Amino acid sequence: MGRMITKEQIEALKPYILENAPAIIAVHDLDHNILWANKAYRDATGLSLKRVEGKKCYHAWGLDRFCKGCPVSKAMRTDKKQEAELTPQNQKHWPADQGSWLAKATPIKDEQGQIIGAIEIAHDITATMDAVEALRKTELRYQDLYDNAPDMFVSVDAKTSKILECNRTFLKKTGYKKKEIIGEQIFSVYHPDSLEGAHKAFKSFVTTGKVSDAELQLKKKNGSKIDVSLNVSAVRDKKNRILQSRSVWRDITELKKAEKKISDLAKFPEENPDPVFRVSKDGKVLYSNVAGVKMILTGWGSKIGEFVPERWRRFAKDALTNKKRIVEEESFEDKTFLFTITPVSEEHYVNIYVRDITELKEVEKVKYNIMRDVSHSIKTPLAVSRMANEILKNAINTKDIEKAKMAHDMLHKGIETALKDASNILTIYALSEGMVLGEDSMLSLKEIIEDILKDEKWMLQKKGLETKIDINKSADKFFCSHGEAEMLFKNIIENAIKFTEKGNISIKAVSRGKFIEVSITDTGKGIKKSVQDKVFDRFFKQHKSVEGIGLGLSICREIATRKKGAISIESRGSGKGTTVTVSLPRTKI
Amino acid sequence: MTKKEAQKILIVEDNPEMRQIYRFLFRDYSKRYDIEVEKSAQIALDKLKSQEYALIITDVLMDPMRGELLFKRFREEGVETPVIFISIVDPEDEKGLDGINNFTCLRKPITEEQLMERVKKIIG
Repeated sequence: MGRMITKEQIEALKPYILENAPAIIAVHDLDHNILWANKAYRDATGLSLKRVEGKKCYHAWGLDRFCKGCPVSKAMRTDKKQEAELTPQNQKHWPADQGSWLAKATPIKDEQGQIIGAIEIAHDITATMDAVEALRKTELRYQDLYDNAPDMFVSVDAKTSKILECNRTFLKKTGYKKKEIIGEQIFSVYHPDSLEGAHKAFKSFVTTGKVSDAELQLKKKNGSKIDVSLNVSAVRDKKNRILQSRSVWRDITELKKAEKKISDLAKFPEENPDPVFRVSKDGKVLYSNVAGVKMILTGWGSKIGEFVPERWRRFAKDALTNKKRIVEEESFEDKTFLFTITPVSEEHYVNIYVRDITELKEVEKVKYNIMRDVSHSIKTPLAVSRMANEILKNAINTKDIEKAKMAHDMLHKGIETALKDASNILTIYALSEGMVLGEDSMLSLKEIIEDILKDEKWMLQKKGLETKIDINKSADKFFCSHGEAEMLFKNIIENAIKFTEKGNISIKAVSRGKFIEVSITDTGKGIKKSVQDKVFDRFFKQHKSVEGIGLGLSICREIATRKKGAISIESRGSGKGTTVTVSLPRTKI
Repeated sequence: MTKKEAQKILIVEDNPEMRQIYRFLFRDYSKRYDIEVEKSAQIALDKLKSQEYALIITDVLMDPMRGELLFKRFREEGVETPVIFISIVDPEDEKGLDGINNFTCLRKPITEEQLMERVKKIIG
């Protein structure tokens, strides 16, 4: 039989065991004074027994009052065993290097059962607490990442399709509150336009556990749309059954906008009715819009991918080499086009913009013809005047009075004609620009006609023309400005005199509803049927040899139209006389 | 020396004032030149069928037949009479005159001296 440790021996060892136990052990009196503390206690506080005994326990730990949640005071108060974790996190002013402790306290009683103190036994739990804290921090970090990720995160229950969890980004983007959304059907956050797609995506998730890049639209709380791209993975149980989703919505609204903008921009050249195409440095057609395809095929017989004619290959090359725009004209099939060849040096091609300038060219030609005709018309009376002036000078030198008189008449007439032509040009343009010739007022037709005939008396007498005036009393008053009325009737009467060699000119007026209708009829040259609809056109002249530049009737029409009246001309043909009929309002319209 | 007969000149001008001016210009030269003034190309062409002229003076811008077309008709009819065009437009503008000869051009306005000098040079 071996040697045995006796009970007595164990009893004798107990003080040693207490003294050297790894846990800290201390005996407190009712006032938190330490009556005894073992070695572990002294090591933890770094104090000798002498400095600990009889001192407040919290002083030993560098505090000026007892710990928050102190288990020793609790045990003495409650007469029960108590324990508490004392850590830098739950204690104020607790020095961090003192670590964390799990402290247990047991009350000590005297023979009468009165509590007289407590035993404190504490374990160092610093390492455990540090691990817990680290874990908490990691969790916080992940929570933060989850909440503040740029994408929207949602978890959806695979069985009920209800929303289990969502991040803050989702709430921020959609405007919902968390309590409004948790527990709701996932489909309630989709826009009606993409509800079908959302159902499809969910079906895919519950069967395959996956959704990739599904383009859907969410509905914000205010009803507006967010374009999203959805990616889903599954959270599964141990038996690999799908429990819930990890859904990520990426907001692609801006992307969609940009995509739309790009595609809209791309439509520009395609929709352009003018040809636009692109030619490479070596002269091949790289791109062409619809209008361009047609043009280069009919004009050059080229298609996309084929060469343009030599002349155009050279232009493309020159534009790229000199980095300068080239503007060229070319005509095919009665049409003239203006080509602007713009180099895009960094891409080694040219963009060619084409404009059909056929009409522009025609307008230019018409403009040139008008200018030429106008200047010729004015030059003719001036040339006559100058020659008459020459003759006048000679006649004065030779004292030939008869010749001088005739030359003077011609000179006078030439100057008058030129002046009148010039003022007619100014008038027609001023009228079309909205010039006002005085205030409208009630006028007497009879007075105006008589005044005009008075001015023309000399010419009428010279030609031996008779005049007949028949103005109905109800057709005398009309509403117009004096200047315009005078110009209108003067032009018509002057024309009648100019084109009539014998016979008469009759002026008749009747009232028709709200208008007066004035007809001026002559027995003169008449108007060829073929040109009757042209006589109101500017610069139209039936007889080129007759003075004037063909603006009189254009001015008349301009005035009649402005006054909300009308003008028309009638002739049974060349040599058969002419009737011009004007209607003007009787009162203000 | 026998008295020289006046030379016949045909003038075609559609502007009445210009016709009057020609009559004035030639009034003092009536012993040397006998002028006939006509207002249209058609009348001039008809006259040329029965008459011979030493010189034709014509306007260019006339309606409906321009001077240069009239000139071409003269030549088609076999009339080789020299022509003076008097016009308000530059003669070089008138492409209608290409490729034909025996004509000169004067710009309006012309002076009595200019016209007479030219007439004298052509028909004496």
